[in-house]
Amino acid sequence: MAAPESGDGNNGAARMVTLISSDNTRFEVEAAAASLSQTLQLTILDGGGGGGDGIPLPNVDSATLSKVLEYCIKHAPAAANGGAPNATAVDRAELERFDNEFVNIDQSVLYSLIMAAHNLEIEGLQSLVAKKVADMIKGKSPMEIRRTLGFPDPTPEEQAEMNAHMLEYGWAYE
Amino acid sequence: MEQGRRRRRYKRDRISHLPDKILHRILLRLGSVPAAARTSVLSRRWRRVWTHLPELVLCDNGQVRISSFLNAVDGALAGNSTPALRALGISMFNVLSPVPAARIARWLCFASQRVTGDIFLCLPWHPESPSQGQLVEQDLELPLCVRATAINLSIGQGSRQLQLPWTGTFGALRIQDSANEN
Repeated sequence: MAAPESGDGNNGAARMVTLISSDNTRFEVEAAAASLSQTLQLTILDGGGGGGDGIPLPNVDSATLSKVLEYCIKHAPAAANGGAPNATAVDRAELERFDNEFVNIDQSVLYSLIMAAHNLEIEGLQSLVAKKVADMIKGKSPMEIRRTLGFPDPTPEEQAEMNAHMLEYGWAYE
Repeated sequence: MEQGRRRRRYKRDRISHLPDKILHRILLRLGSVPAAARTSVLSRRWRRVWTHLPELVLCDNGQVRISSFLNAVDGALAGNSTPALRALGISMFNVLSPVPAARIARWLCFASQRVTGDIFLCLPWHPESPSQGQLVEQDLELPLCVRATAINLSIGQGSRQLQLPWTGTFGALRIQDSANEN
């Protein structure tokens, strides 16, 4: 078994690490992909997650982890190139297409993904999911936002409270 | 039945259950402080989220009326209660009328007390009627900003001068840049 390499030892087979979800499913991925997580990066650099060990992730279930890893695997090559300054326009367009498709998901899945991206500190994914939610809010009236986010219809008291609040925040509606 | 529907639909809203820190990140992505402030009307949960935004960046993008923009700046500063803002940016690229010095003084006072990162202030470059002399341009005084790490001021108008405090040090300052356009 090869000794864990620090640095960018890309010769031969890529180093693999094992991640274990909260419901005890094991995922084997390239170390480079898992290292998009700031939380995991140090452990992996220290040689953790290899062999039979695996890194337990008690806050991430298998469905979410599988989704997170799909993102990491797709983005790892560009990240390895230092944000891919010399990536072709085609590559960038393909990543953008992937990202748009990737967050086209049900709100409960989106919620789990946001929490996982945050816990694992995956910068690109945090930014992507924040943008997704911002896009759900942008350019909408408060009632439209409530509907988009799945709030119940306001009770008459809530409606009155909302109206009063909007008057108080007149400057934000000018 | 109505109750059941209400409850079932309510379960769909997961975004409101995110921690404040993540909601702040989402609100910053709106790219507009007024838009972020408008989310305070959504529910009690959202009421105070925007008031703790870690940075405030206000720009008069496409905003034509100066009074609207000035009200937005004042409203945003009055509503924010973050003790240590990592950035405060106020930029006027579209409005052309002069901004009363007393108003700017209040913004700078807020900045001096609350900003621990960047202060960026860009005032209108070409007042509409600089020569009519209706509004005498008063000098601006920059209060001591002991916690700011960068200050970038463009005070823009002909006769206006920027005065620095007589005493004290800008303890945390790394970069200072000020432009007085003539």
